[in-house]
Amino acid sequence: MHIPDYYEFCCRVNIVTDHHALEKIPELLLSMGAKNPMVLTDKGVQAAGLIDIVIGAIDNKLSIKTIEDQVPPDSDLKIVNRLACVYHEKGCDAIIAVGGGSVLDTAKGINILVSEQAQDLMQFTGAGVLKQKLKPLIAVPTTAGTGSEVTSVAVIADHEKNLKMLFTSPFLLPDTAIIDPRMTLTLPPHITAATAMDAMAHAVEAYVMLSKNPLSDAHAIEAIKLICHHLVRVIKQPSDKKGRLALATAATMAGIAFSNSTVGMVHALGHSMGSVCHLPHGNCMAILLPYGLEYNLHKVEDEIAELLLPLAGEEIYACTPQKNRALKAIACIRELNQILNKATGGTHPICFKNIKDKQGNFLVTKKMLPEIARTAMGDGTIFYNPEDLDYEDCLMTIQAAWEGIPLDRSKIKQG
Amino acid sequence: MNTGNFTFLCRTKTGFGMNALEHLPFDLSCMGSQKPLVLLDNNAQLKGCAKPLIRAFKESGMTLGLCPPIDGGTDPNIDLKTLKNFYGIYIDKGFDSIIALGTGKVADMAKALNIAVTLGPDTLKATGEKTQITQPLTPFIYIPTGMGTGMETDKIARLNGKTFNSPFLAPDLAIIDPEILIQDTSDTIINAGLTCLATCCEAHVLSDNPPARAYCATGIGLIIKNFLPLVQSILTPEVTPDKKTTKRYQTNLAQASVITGIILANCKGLLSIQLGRHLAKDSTATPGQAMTILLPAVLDLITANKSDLGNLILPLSGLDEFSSVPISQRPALAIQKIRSLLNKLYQICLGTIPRTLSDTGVDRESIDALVQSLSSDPPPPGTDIKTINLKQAKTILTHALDGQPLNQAYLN
Ligand SMILES: [Fe+2]
Repeated sequence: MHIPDYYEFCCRVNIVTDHHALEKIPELLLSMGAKNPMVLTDKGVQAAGLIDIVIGAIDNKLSIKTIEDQVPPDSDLKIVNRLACVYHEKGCDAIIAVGGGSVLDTAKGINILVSEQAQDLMQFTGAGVLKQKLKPLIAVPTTAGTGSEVTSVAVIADHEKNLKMLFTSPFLLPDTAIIDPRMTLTLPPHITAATAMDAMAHAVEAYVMLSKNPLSDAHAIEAIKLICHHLVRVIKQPSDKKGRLALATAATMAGIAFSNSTVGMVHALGHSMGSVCHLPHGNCMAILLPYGLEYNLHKVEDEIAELLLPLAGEEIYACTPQKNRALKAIACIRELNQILNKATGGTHPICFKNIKDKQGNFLVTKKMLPEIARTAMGDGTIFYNPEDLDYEDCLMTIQAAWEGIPLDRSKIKQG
Repeated sequence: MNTGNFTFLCRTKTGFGMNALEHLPFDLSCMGSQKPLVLLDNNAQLKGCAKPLIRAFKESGMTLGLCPPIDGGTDPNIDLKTLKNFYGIYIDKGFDSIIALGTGKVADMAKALNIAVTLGPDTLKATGEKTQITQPLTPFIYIPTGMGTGMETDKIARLNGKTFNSPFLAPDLAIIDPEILIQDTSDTIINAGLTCLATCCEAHVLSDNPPARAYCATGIGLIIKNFLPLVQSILTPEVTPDKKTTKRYQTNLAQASVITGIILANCKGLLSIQLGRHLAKDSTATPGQAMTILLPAVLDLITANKSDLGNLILPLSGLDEFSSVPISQRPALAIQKIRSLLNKLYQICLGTIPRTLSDTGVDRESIDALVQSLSSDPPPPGTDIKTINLKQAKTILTHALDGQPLNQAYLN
């Protein structure tokens, strides 16, 4: 057990996990003294019929003032400002956010404006600026991956000024996270795989970062166990409700783990892949995770070795010599990617050159790699990585991930 | 491994370790507080626990108020006159948050004061429905000076026989700083350590609740590595390790105690805890001792899926032992681990600690009377505690008598 000299652990979100968790929303909101919620979502969630399920579960026990489905894939300041006005005009007193990371970020942004009776979001950027509890916010995640239902962070993009505003405060945590398998039941297999691998990356990175603590570790281990046990089954049997619930629980657990530890280079490289090539975050995570571990192997070998147990089970762990366990753990993640690739009919990518558009063109070309490496160097999460990375190391890592060949570890500049 | 339907809520943020206190002024300001009122007991006062706290606020620009110390003695009741006095101080001087510096009774007093200052003193007199608390209270910080009862971070407030139960009663922040911890007596450590062990083990096995399991695994790990060494260091001074190591044991155990309260708030109806508390009233065992004596029989009887019991080996013994023991042998080994810990404690304490129910002075003839007294001792109103199945209770007590395995098949 690794116990740092000092650590903090906090997750104030009420986690409600149930095959009928949605039905509990009215009681939960009423107990917080609210009954006129705004339902916030995006077009995709709306089109998938998930809002109908939520409304059906609420069953007139609340007076839903408005359903807003205008949230763009990338959060946007203008939308936040507009929806804050709508919130006031319609007399809302709470938000039910149904969706993924962007919907949650938007909901957190709106909640700051309406709770603080403010016009300008800018004055609340940074850490610890908020001083009091905001209005009730219920998060209903629809992708079992991001974990944003349990993070105290929001990122809102100001597209006019071309900047991203970052907000951190424990008051941004939703009051309740509703984990209901009906919200992920219809996710297609390749998205299920990608989002689960995002959760996997959160748990694994949280466990190997220097900022870990015993409680973040324990949450990470539970999450990895659940993903390894259920993911492939759910891909093969998408209507497996128990498995869906387990994967959604794992994503929340992984979210708690990384928000009380950190993420590292896998996310740094993944974020820049996302912004340069517009790849789905989960795909980047699945491809990059083994490379991130290979890169850090000499610094955190014991931690990676311990992950072999939840990843591969006790038999393989016991029968693998200690000195081989870390490499075996990395091999297990690659193997999982292979299995997912096969089970999704090849749509789950295992290297970047695998990813092509409908016309068969590469989404990531070799020419883009230097820009991706440069962008990654500016990503905040890179500072927490156990081994330092410079531009060449970033480039080397994504080149290997592009080809799908193991990292040449002899070339890592060890610090 | 499935996850059942579950809910989990822990409103308490933990700050743990070296110089943890230094973060407190910032944390308070983040909660909108500038003027905290400190409650402490006479032991904490005597040992100078307030000094590091005052030092942490030196350059914060905040005003720190100190109440006169309360009597931390064994009487569980809260002196209402003192409470009224504190209420007066808080309101008159315009304090805006409460710090409990101490354990058990100080935390109970702080919770009662929090209800009074946020919702009005009449709320403390309320009964039934009106005792329900549905809104956030004044910021409340818990700073343990020792291992405590494990109930400080629970969501329950006890006020002279009355119980208030709300997630909002749990501390907003628990700060475990080695500098403020004072050396508990071995009796306190043993009772608290065994309470943690029983709570975390039973909840790990019986609750289909992944976040709770994560807390339990952490709690068990902390107990296994620190509990016996700390007791030994107090009782056998000739082998006492250096001060720094002892302090580390203390700090880690205080963390386990904070975790125990969080588990108690989230896992309802833990049988070893309920039965143990009851048994302690009628025997020579302390609650923690009684819980651990009953724990093997409880786990054996209640666990429907024996692999859940076997999984306990992982936090109890670590990765290597867990992964090398055949699945079929794990449940019996898990139970044996718990018994061994109690036996080892018996040895360290030179036989002054009971290992079985008979060691506590209970004999076969008195079991029926014990079971009877359970039915006449209903759970206090306002708690989540379930009524105990008397037949189950009898089986458990009978098997705890000599600490025999419930299921003989485990022996083969
Ligand atoms: Fe991620």
